Amino acid sequence: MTLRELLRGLDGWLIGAALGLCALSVVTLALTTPNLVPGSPLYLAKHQLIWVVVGLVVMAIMMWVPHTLLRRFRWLIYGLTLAMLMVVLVHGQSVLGAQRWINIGPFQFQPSEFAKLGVIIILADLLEKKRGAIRTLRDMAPAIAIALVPMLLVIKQPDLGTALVIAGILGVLLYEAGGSGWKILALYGGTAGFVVLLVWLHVQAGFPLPLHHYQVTRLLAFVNPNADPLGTGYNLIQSEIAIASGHLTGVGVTEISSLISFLPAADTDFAFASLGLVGGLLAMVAALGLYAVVVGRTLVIAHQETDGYSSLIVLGAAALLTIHVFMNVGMATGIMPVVGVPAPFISYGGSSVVTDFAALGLILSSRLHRVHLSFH
Amino acid sequence: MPQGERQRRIRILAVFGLLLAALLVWRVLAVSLVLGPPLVQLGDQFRIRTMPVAAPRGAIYSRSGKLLVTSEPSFAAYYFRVGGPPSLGEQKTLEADLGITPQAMTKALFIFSTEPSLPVVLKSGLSPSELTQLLQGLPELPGVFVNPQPVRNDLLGSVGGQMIGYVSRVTAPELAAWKLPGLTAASVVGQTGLELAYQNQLFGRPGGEKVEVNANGLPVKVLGTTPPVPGDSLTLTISKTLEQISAKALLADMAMLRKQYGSQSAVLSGAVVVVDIHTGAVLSMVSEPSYNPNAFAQGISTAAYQALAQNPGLPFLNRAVQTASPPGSVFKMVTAMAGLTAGKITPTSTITCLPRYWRPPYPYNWLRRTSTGPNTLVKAIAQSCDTYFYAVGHRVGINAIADWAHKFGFGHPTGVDLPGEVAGVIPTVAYYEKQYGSLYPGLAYSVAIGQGADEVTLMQLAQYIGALATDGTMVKPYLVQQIKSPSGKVLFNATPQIVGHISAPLAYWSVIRQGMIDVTTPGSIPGPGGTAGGAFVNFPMQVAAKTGTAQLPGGVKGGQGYMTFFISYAPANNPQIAVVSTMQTVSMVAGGMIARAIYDAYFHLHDPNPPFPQVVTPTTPPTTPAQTAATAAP
Repeated sequence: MTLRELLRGLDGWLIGAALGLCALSVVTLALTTPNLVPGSPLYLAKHQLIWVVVGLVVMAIMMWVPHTLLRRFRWLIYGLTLAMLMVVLVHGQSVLGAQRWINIGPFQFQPSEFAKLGVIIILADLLEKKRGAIRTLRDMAPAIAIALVPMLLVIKQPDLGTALVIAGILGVLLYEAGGSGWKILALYGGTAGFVVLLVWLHVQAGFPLPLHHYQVTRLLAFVNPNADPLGTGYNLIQSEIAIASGHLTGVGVTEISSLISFLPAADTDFAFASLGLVGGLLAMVAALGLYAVVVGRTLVIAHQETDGYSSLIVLGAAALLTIHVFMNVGMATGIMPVVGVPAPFISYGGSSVVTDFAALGLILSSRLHRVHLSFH
Repeated sequence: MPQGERQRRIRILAVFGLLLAALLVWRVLAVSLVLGPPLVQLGDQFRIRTMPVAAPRGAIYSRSGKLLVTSEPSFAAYYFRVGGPPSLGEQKTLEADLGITPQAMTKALFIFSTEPSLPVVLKSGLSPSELTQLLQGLPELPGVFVNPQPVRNDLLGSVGGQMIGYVSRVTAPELAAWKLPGLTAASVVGQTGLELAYQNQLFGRPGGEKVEVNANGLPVKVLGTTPPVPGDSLTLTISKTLEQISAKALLADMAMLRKQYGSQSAVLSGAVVVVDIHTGAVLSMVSEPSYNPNAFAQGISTAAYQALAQNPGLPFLNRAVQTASPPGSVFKMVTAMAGLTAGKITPTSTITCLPRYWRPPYPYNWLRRTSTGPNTLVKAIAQSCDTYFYAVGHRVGINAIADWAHKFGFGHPTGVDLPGEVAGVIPTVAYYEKQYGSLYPGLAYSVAIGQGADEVTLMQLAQYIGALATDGTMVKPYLVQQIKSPSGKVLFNATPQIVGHISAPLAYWSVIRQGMIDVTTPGSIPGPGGTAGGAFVNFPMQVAAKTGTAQLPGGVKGGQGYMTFFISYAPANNPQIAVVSTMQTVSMVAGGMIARAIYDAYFHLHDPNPPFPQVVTPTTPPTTPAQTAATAAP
């Protein structure tokens, strides 16, 4: 495949929207963290830019690799994913109480981000083989088991957000492969109900839960943030204040510096609220629009796909991005608990940005190789 | 599964996606336009915090304007963070940078368990070099800042420690009970004595620094400062010199007794009160053993506190007002007045003073082995003849004595402006019947000599002797003469309060006065001498007095010994001040020499035979008070 062919495989809408989101991210970071690192102005903005470039390279590689190749090495990829998650648990760097990072040379690397892709690649194969024959819960069991292992590993870190993202991807893929929508909904609803019951028992009667105390309080704070405005509800209240302070077009540069200091994790978990503060309603609506373009185009590509395995891969990537957007924006606006999921292309962080671009690569690969096949 | 079905499912998923998108758009709009704006208004309450800055407590001055208690400017390193203490790692850094122990850190941060948004003192009393060092290093210590921390300094030290009282960090119940503007869990409040009684005046109004805190609750910017308003100052009726002399004389007498009786003096304690007879102004009030309020000024260690709390001499107890005990013979003037006014005795009638009172069924003994012959009231007071007063008690009865005791102010608090004053007990027939079911024969004899169930305070005795000196004028004792605002404006000026006048024929007052003058007349008993004659040999001023000794439960040896009282006023013919004292000791007579030293100092008499020349020399300026306070009782 030539570079020309590779370039032709690029989807203008998809890439344009993603780069637009990256631009919003870099500008927001530049305005909110101009002097975060002493002696190195615009540290985060510059680094985010570097991650975008790295992400584009990774995207190109993922594009170039046909899905068939990934499928062949699926167990290796899955095994590597699990191995990395275990390494994190044993040797990981702890930041703010969660053990999510491992050091590779000068870089910190968050395997849970890449784990989502590994899960998509292996689930797509498993479900493609069972396509149309997923009728009962027992038919779903192998896929659930495959997804559950990395989920439990990330919950242990503890990273509830990533576990929920993987669960979401699993649900979408089960449906796409012909699973009964109602049964999937019943399975998820039942599990959610069971968890709520367990938490209720935990709070009321001290029933032991394998969750960290802060995870339980965050779940409770989601129900009533004002119960503890300086504790666990603080994040959400500050997020809503940041969003509303931005009004229509955002606040001035001098106001940003004083207001942003109240927003916790302003560059990562609450990047969307940062965007709202800096760019107002306009920027937030623009970002949501760009996300809609990314997901919409991905669904179109999936719709056009003729190969079932590739369709599952593309849809898995779409689910990943969609769930991230929904959880992150939902978290910033109070319809999701604060579980720390990055906003695709907007939240600062190498692992997150590179994973988002890798997901784009998976999507574009489908398109490229399909185009390749049909024209040659 | 056919291609069409797969595509249909993708379309259904797309609809799902659209629903999620709609939900997000609705939510973003809702937060941005409806839910968020009120929070923006409220945001200030989360971001902008007022960090209290303690106000210096009002100063306390002596009657002549000498400083007794100050709030000295001092600087402390505080830690302020909204929402909770620093992390363990940050604590380690702070401990190293400030040079404090982990224990001190834990103790300092304890406040976070109840009050998550108050500054805590990490290190008090910073030296100038520490201050400079810290101010330079502050940018690297988030949450740490330096603010003034007024430190209470009682210049009298342990002298009159219970009267002044101590200050310490407010407790949770106090925080709820005190309605002081600006009071927070970090405030320091008066706990006892005048510091407690005049809390509202001394406390002042804490200031505040409005600070903006960041997402981690750490202050990032000071937005404005409200300076603290110092508390109002008190000018006491207390004379600093007399206060110190009283303490020295009391301690010297106690030391002498301890030397004389050694281990027998199981509990040795005492108190002295000096009062202006005409106004009720308290000139001096000491109680020993005492404690130094300064030990509490910057927080007392548990060990030091335990040592004070477990001292058998009860150093926290103000023996002038907070305890009552049987008065013994100092009570006899009450019985005398009851007898005179009831017509059961006259100023000239006599009763033979036998060593035993033989009225059946029980013999009541007096301490003397031989009769002192027929006694007039004057002689009976001067030589404290018990059998004379047994007879008077027998004639007038318990209730008549109780009536007169109440007239003299016993049985209810004097109303002196100190916390914890007790009322004491004046028994009546009804009281005994209620307590014991019936009266045993001869109970009136005990009551007549102040050895029944009666309990009086030293403050009541001061008021009582004042009434005896002024033919029946009862004045209310008080300690605070003036309250001034920080700008010097007089907010309150005490005027003497006459709370009663006891009417009785002048002849009765004067016969009792004569008896009390004879108490201090040197000479032998049964000769012309009085019970305190020995203490006033060659004293250049005539003093009217009465001694009293009540036996405490448990006997002398191994028991609590005696409670002795000495009540007096001088000059006898032109009464000015009253000196009353009490001591719990194994000696039967005590207090005369203390009073002698105090009169000598007050009236500048240049006593030819000063009782405690080595410690009480009024012509030389007072030296550092003896610090034997907390260890007085072995």
